[in-house]
Amino acid sequence: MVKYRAAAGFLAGAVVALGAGWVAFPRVLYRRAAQPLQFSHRLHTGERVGLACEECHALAADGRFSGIPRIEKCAACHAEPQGKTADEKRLVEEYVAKGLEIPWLVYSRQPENAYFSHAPHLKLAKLKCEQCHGPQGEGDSLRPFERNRISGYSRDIWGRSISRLRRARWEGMKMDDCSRCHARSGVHESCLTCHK
Amino acid sequence: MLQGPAPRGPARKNKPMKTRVSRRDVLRFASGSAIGLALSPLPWKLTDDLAIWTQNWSWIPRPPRGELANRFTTCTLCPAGCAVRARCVGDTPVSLHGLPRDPLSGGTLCPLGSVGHHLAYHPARVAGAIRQLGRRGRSRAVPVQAEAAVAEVGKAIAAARARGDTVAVLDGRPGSAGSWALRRFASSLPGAVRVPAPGREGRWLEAVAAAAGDGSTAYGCDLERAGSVISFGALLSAGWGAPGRARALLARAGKGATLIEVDSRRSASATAARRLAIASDGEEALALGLAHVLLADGLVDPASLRQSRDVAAFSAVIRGFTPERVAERAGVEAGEIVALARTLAAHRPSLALGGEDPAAGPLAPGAAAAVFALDVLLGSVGGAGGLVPVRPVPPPEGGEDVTAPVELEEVADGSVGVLLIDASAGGVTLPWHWLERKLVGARAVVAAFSPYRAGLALRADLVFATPAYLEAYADAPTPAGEALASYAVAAPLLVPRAGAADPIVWLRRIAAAAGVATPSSLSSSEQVVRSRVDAIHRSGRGSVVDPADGSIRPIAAFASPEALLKALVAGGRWVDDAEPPRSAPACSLLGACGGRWRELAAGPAAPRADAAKFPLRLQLSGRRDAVASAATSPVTAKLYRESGLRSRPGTATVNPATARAAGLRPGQRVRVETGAGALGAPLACDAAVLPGVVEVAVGPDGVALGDRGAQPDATALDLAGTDGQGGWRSTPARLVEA
Repeated sequence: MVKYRAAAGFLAGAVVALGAGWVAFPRVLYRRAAQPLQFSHRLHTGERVGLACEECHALAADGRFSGIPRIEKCAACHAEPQGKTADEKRLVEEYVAKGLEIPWLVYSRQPENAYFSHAPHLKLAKLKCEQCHGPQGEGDSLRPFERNRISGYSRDIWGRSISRLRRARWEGMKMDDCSRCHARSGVHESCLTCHK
Repeated sequence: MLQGPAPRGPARKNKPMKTRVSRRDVLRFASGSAIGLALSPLPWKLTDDLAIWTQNWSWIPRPPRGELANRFTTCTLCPAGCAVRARCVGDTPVSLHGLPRDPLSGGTLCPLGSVGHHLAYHPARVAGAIRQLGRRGRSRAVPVQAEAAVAEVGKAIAAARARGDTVAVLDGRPGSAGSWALRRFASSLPGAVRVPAPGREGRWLEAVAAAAGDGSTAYGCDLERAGSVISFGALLSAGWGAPGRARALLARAGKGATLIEVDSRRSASATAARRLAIASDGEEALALGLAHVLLADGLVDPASLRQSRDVAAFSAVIRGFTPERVAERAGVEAGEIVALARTLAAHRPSLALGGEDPAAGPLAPGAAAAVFALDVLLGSVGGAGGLVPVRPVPPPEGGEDVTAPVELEEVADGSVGVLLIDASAGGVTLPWHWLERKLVGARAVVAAFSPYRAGLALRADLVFATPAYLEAYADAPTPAGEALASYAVAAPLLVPRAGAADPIVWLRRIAAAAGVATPSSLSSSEQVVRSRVDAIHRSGRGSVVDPADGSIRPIAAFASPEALLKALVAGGRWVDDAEPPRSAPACSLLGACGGRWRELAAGPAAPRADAAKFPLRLQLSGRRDAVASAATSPVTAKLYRESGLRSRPGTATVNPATARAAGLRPGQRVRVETGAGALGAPLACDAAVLPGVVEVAVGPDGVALGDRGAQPDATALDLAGTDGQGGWRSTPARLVEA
């Protein structure tokens, strides 16, 4: 009886800690925030609209990635509502009509201490958007943005799984992930390549 | 109704057992929790997030986001003057890169140059003026009104002049735009002397100029046409002079060219060049031993003998330097000395190069003279592939009208009432006690002009803020050893920090406070650059190479000095026209060293008086990128503290045999003691360090790497003694258990 009790105490502690570490901690660590509008990538890249990724997420002439399209780009098609959804109405009334930028929460924004350029990855390495960003372009809605309460990073930088055991190659955008891909591709790197 | 006590025995057995939580249960639970936590991501992820949090504090400068542009400029962090492509976001540089088409650097950019754009944000930056209180080097800083600080130094200068004390200006970068302004200042102030930094690159070539003629003709090294090069103390492969030239020489190594580096310290580039490890201070004996073999074996070019006024006397002296006798002093086998001399004779044109070390300072005069004598015997003075005359870069207007510099050794001890240290163009590698002994004592005032509170500026009473790299006009005149004069300009890419001003602006204000009128010409670095560009344009000499595209435009293609300045500001480099080689005038092989060499030749050196107390030799080491500037980016901390690619400052490294003989183990904390001081350091062992030698890297220290609170009790330079010949290459030392 005494022996079982000793084991039970130990196991109870281990179970509580494992539960705290694997289940509770990730929930506490990340703060969820909804995107300002819902948006269907699938609709825009599908047959009906037929846009390619780079038509909205283009490279500037100097090689910079322009990132999220500006409101003028949306206004080109959405000067008038293109449907009857609440989000479409808000897009037109609150942003397009007023000329305000949509404050999108960017899943893959790198922190300020890391310098990343899309240009060499797209132009020299000929990578596809999906190889790093996953099937973003196939979703009908935007998932909530999850911000790390300590570092301020998006959860996508660490990867969806708290264990960093990746189910897909595109999961995770930490330095290790960059280095792994560079090593696999035989690309030289140094500290100052990314940390300016 | 009263009840009696509960019956004992069977009735007690039926009562349910109470669960009491004991201390042991708590410990078991805690143990389980600890193991459970360790098997969960919580501690690891938390550590990672906290580390990231510390990298993104609001006060850490962030590269801006915006449009990208390339701007071309010149690195002025050291005298090499490498061409730089600055990738800018808006107007702010975010990364720096070398330019492979630059004839001097060949695209090389050292670790310091690669992070030069960080230096403007260095934690040790000074704003305005500060006063340092407490012991020199272990002081604390308090901000002071700039006007009050200027008035204080002005008053000290007036008092020094009244007492007849010297006002000394330490010129950290002789030849640069700032240096010309300092020259003018020192000339206008009676009793002031300009002291060039003793460890400056090119000092051996200055000695060559003095020995080969009247000192008016400067000499450079024609490495490009040399068949074999033997360098004494100048680590060519580590970037001495212009780094691209050594690379080009090494690239020719497979096609018959030879580069031999003679040094008693470890060489990080030994794989690139052939390294000849010699005993500490063995350069002089080895050079004379090689000269002996050349003369004895008849390998000397007869024409070169006619160039010497005292070949007979030299031959008589050199007879004592047989390979067998030199072997002991130089730590090189006699057979190797003979083979080396024959190699140099067989692979002509051969060049013997003496040089300065960024950490260990200049070659001793005796060694410098011996290397020059070797050059004369090899026939390399004035000939292609040897030491060739170099025309100077045209000086700025009024530049000739200045008094001559005074070497630090010539300044009398205890004579300097005011010491002004110009550390604005980069730190000056110099043991502080060398300067300190020149001061009149406690009443001396020391002021430094520096962007950072680091290096020698830590020893000053007052520090005046100057612009950091990329914040002000600067120039890069001909690097040491260059066979053709060259000139490049760095225009400001960043707005200077508030309160920072050119050293010459501070000096003019100080002179005014001292009641001394200074001329208005050469009153800022920018004015010197403009004046010098005017002079180059007027000379009509040379061409401008654009390292960005490799194009070359003759000077005549520039219609005005403004057009030339524009091209230089855009990254161009002016390079002089080649001159046909000409023979040097007859010179003396013995120079001022005849007596010394006769003594050396007479027999083995008498043991040092302190040999029993200090049985080892301390040798300071360091790469130019780590010691030439007083500050480096904290980003390079990994390079110096963790990677092992560079010697870690403050670590004493010895040969395993030396450690065993002293009864010490690697990792153990030891004290390195010399006659000048002591330094606590961890011990490391490396078989590449010669037995009997303690090697300590000079920098970068914690302050230079951005840790403001890391002022060391002593630096490796504080241990350097004087060899009595104007250098600090090696100092008698001992190791004791800390």
